Order: sequence, then C-alpha cells, then structure tokens
Amino acid sequence: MKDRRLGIRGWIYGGKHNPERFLYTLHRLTGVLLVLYLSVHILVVGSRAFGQEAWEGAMRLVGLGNPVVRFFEYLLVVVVLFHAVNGARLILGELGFTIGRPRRPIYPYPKESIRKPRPLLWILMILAAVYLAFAAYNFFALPA
Amino acid sequence: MSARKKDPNTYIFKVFRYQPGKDEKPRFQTYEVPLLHPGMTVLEGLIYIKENLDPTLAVRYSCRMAVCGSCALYVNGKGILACHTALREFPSGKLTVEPMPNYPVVKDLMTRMDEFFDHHRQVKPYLLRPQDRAEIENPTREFLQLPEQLEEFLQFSYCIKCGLCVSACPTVATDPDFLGPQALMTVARYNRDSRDGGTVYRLKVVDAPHGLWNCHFAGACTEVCPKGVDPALAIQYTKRESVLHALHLNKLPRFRKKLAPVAPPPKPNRRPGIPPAPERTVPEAPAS
Ligand code: HEM
Ligand code: SF4
Ligand code: FES
Repeated sequence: MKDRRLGIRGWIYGGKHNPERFLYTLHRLTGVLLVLYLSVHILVVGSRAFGQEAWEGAMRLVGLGNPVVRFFEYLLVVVVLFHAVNGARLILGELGFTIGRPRRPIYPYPKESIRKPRPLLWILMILAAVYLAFAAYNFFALPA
Repeated sequence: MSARKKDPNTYIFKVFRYQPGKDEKPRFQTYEVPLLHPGMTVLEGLIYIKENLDPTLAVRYSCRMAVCGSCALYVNGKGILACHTALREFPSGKLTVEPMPNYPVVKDLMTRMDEFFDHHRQVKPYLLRPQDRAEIENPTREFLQLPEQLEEFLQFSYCIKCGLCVSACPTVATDPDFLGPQALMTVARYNRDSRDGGTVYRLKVVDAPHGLWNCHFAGACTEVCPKGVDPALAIQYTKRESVLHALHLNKLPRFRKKLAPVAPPPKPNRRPGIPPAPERTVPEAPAS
C-alpha cells in the first residue's frame, strides 16, 4: 500500500481514459490468448505425425462440430482479427506514421499522437466488425 | 452522504489521508470548502482546508500557476494540476482528492519523486556534442538554429516534470523499472534538437529492457499531460529513430541529422551606411 503501485489493475484504471489505453490491455490479452491457442494448435496438428489413430483421437478430443466448440472457434476469429488489425495500427503509429507532427501546445491542446490516428482506429475497427458479421453468418447460419 | 451538495457555493472535498509509518492504512476525510471567488482552484480549496479546517493536511505546491509541476494529484480519478483546475469544473460539487497513483506516498497528497527524477537523469537531459567537446566545455558563441528547427522539439520542452504522465501509464503500473513517458519523451526533446549530437548515446540508454520498447502506445500520457507536451508523439518518434539506426538508414541523406553550427564571431566593423549613434542626453551610468 505504501507504494500505491496499481499493478495489473493499472492496465484498466489510471487517469483519464482514452480508447487507446483500453486497446493496450486488449492487445496484450489477445496476444497471450494467441500464444496459448498456437501451442495447443501445434500439439493437436502435430498428432498427425503419430499416425491416423492419434490424429483421429486428437480430433475427437477437440470435438470439432460441437456447437460450443464452434462458438469458441468463432471467438478465435474475433481474437485474431482484433490483434491483427490493432497490430497494424500500432506498427504504423510506432514507426512514426499517422501520428502527426509536434505543434505548439496552445489550449485546447492538439494531442496529435492520439487524436490524429483516431479516425483510422475507428475505420479499422468498423472494417473488422463488418468482416466478423460476415464470418458469424458463415459460421452459424450456413450449414457446416 | 446526500446525493447532491446542499449549497452551490460549497464544495465537498473527500481527501486521501495517509502517513506511512504512523497510519496503518489510508483513509478519506471530508471537508466542506466555500467557493471564495468564481475562479477558485482545487489548490486554493486545499489551502483553505490547511488554513481554516485542518493544518495537518500535507499538500505540495509552489508556483500556483502551472509552472513548477509540484501540485499534480488526482481528482475524481483524473490527473490534474491542482493549481490549474477550477472548482467550477466539478458541477456535482464533490471532489475525491487522491495523490498520484504509482508513486510512494510521503504523506497525504504528497508523492515521492526520487525515482521519477532518477529516470529523467538517466537519459542525459542536456546538450551532448561529443563532436566538439571543447565548445561545450568552454563555449565561445551560441549555436545557430532556424525557427523551423526549433519547432521540431519545442513542444517537448514545455514539460514541467509534474509526473502525471508516469502515474497514468499502464506499463508503469506493472514495471517499476520502466523509464516512463517523461524520461522517454525527453530523449526526443534532445535528439530532435539540431544543436545536439548525442543521439546514439541516448538510444543506447533507452533501446534496452525497461526502456523504449516497453511503451505500447496507450496514449494515456498524452491524454493526461497538463502542458500539452504529447509524450506519446515524442516516444513514437524515438522508436522510429531507433529502427532507422538499427537498419543504418540514419546515414541516408534524408534521415541524416545535421548538427547546428557554432555562430561565427561578430564582424569587427559596422555595416556601411548605418548613421552614427546620436549624442548622449544622459550621463553614462557609473560602472558598479
Ligand atoms: C497479423 C498478425 C499479427 C500482427 C499484425 C501482430 C502485431 C503485433 C504488434 C504490432 C505487437 C506489439 C504491440 C505493441 O508494441 O504494443 C504485438 C504484440 C504481441 N503479439 Fe502480435 N501480431 C500478430 C499475430 C500474433 C500471433 C499469431 C501471436 C501469438 C502467437 C501474437 C502474440 C503477441 C503477443 C503475446 C504480443 C505481446 C503483447 C504485449 O506485450 O502487450 N501476435 N503483435
Ligand atoms: S510530459 Fe506532461 S505530464 Fe509528463 S511530467 Fe511533463 S508536463 Fe507532466
Ligand atoms: S503549484 Fe506549481 S504547478 Fe501547481
């Protein structure tokens, strides 16, 4: 308590909230989920190396076709798409594109680095949402 | 407590109280503060408490005009300078006043800034010119800089070291050794200055664990900065510079930094055609 360091709570809380600050946490969360998924994915696909039996066993274990598993597969698409789209935004910004130039700090402050790329942020998120809506149709409305 | 304040000219201050070593844990104490004049600030409210209600309250301030950076604290979860925020910005009339998070508390609203300034020092926040050390150590004249070269870093030099950006940063929350937005911003302040030749030295300091790449562009520093410094902009520029250096692209004419020259010595003779100065009308002041 003496330190008042926020710890993991600080990834969500901490001062005036701009949307990018939440994306920081979401990007990290999806990144970790992707690492977890990729490990499982490699283990499952790798089972093919141990013959047809092992492969079919692994497939049964995973339970493809089960509606619950299908829902989680869709969630995976959401996670991948968010991480990729937001990653593209971060790569552009962190290499100095889209973020504007230094300006005189005259009130109300320009806050260029977060305000200037914000339209790009919304456009990317809307494109991702449209893609995900089509993906949802593909996943749940069409026969598997 | 009632949902609304009873009187539009009374402000309810719920103030964080804590003295490490004495109090077991922090508590909040409530004070009623009258609006003494329309432009009254949060800091004036806290001084009112100190002078009239409770002299034991600890609050740090000095300039009371947004210049010294001493009075940074959080009101209703937002980082502000107490001296630069009017009470009337809080129409509900209720203020929860806390010290900046992510810093150790000295007492009540005062936070310990040693680490913050230590990080600032680490990035060498002064002009480096290993290229002509003699001039830096025994300056003969000023360096020549164009107005547009000044604009490249002027915004980043407005920092008053209040520490709000560090308190708002999500990386600081989990990494105590992270240099933090203020120190990382200062790198661009000097690397982008045409008079400075220390880019590689500063990059060596920040292109390291707990440095530049622990910034993930959350932008909270820019959102909270009370001086409009935009630390996130400065830090992303330094990332770009670091990448250019790693790929040796900084040697391309487009990206190469040209050092500002030392001003030439003044010409001994006046330009022709300038009329001589008129006769003195008052006697010369005696040399003191
Ligand atoms: C299109 C593909 C991808 C793109 C464009 C992308 C982009 C990025 C970027 C730019 C970062 C750094 C962000 C920052 O500086 O804050 C990052 C972080 C990360 N990525 Fe990805 N990524 C992709 C795929 C993946 C995959 C497949 C995985 C998992 C195996 C993954 C796991 C991670 C993790 C764990 C982090 C660290 C997050 C953090 O420290 O906050 N990414 N990604
Ligand atoms: S960059 Fe802004 S918020 Fe950070 S210490 Fe300087 S003035 Fe304060
Ligand atoms: S008292 Fe100096 S910045 Fe507020």
